[in-house]
Amino acid sequence: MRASVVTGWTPVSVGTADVAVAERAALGTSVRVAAWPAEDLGSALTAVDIELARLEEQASRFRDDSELARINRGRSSVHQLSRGLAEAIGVALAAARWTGGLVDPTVGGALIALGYDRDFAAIGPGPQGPAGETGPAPGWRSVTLDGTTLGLPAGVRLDLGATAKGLGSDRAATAAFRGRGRGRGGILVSLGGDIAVAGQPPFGGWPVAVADSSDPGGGPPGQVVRLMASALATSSVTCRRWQRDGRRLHHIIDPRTGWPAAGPWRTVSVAAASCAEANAAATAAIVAGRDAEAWLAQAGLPARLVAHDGTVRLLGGWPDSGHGRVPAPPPSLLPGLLAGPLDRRPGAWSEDGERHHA
Amino acid sequence: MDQQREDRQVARRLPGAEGPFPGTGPGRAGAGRAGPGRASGLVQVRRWSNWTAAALIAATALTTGYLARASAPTVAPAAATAVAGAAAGTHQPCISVPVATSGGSGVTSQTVVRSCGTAGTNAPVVASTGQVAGRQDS
Repeated sequence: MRASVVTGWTPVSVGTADVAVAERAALGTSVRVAAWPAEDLGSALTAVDIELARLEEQASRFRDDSELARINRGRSSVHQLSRGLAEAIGVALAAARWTGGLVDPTVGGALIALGYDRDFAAIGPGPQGPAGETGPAPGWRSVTLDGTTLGLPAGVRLDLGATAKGLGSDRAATAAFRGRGRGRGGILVSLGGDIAVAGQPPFGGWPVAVADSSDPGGGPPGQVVRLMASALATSSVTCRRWQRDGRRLHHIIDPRTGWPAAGPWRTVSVAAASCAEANAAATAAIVAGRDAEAWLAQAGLPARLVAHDGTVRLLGGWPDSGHGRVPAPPPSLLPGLLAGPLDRRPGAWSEDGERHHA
Repeated sequence: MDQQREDRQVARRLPGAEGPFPGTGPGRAGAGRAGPGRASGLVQVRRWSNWTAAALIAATALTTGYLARASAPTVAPAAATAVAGAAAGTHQPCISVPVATSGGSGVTSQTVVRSCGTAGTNAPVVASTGQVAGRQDS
């Protein structure tokens, strides 16, 4: 049965009529939705549209009318948030706590200073003017969140890039699956490569390509893995690159310096219980550099790391052959992270970047 | 007590039968020995019949239960009620083409088509799980 596709979406053929796939641009990147049975795609796309529109209204740094943009422009240090943005900031702070600050929502000022101050499509990769002054991020501990009340020191700019796409995929996949109203079937949502699944996967799992290059036509081919459940996210410094004052920059900022991360890994893919966690862990691994392997291994997260020289590391049972299944990741840490400080849990970094052992 | 009940059942006349029970009439030579032997055989036959019937009933019940369980779809309990009304054709599909690409933001592409369950033709991985090989410097 052919699935009807909601306006704005482009159908994508995947060689079988049993699974329907469509994609469109969203949030400065592309979103792709897969559904089985195929007739569920229409309702799934509608649910995804609603969730992504909400997320953009809440957390986009590039839409002047978004809630986050208003807060970043505001002079007040106390803000009342919608529940949706409160959740998004709460997840970002939880990720910062989990990684000991290797991902930090207060890097917004550094990104702006380096020139990533608008939708990336409007920046372009070519030479730009000199970079502004940048330095260590103010730090996530300077931000307070009490329910929907946000405390943000004057001048601190938030960027939720390390978690918001993953959270968006989580929300969209859940909403799309709930909206089906049927028993059997499954949904996959990929928001800029951050993938969340819900329901039952196709036989053998969802086949997902893992790329280590942002250029579909160049670079070494990636690996195809099969995702049974949970989520998979990839962070890479090979995309969203631009130049300032003769210096090549990228969008993954090391909060400790305020400059793009300069570690050995160019691409890190991580499987986790939620896409927000996978997103945060992948970005933190890029920033962590040489400590990334040890932390990912201790956290028990299946991961694939690609070094700048093309060397690949596989951790946590990540399959080493094509179409291998990604092992089930540990249970979600988010509930505990959102409830209180877990800086001393095994695998967490302290604020100064030191890793704590069990 | 069971023995008495079975004896009474053996002694019951068949419809249309007249006269004394065979082997129990007066003056019949050997009547006292042949009668109990035949009755005992009938008891044995009835016992076997009862056990056979019970075994058949139990086997039928077990088979029915097994088949019902084996043919039920494996879904979460919460979704089980919806399965009954699900349309035909909701079998778990098999798909070999990657439905999405997890890469840096904005990467979305398809790769080669392969049959389900076959090994891919991906670039070889140069380090196995948990092992560090090669230099780590960029």
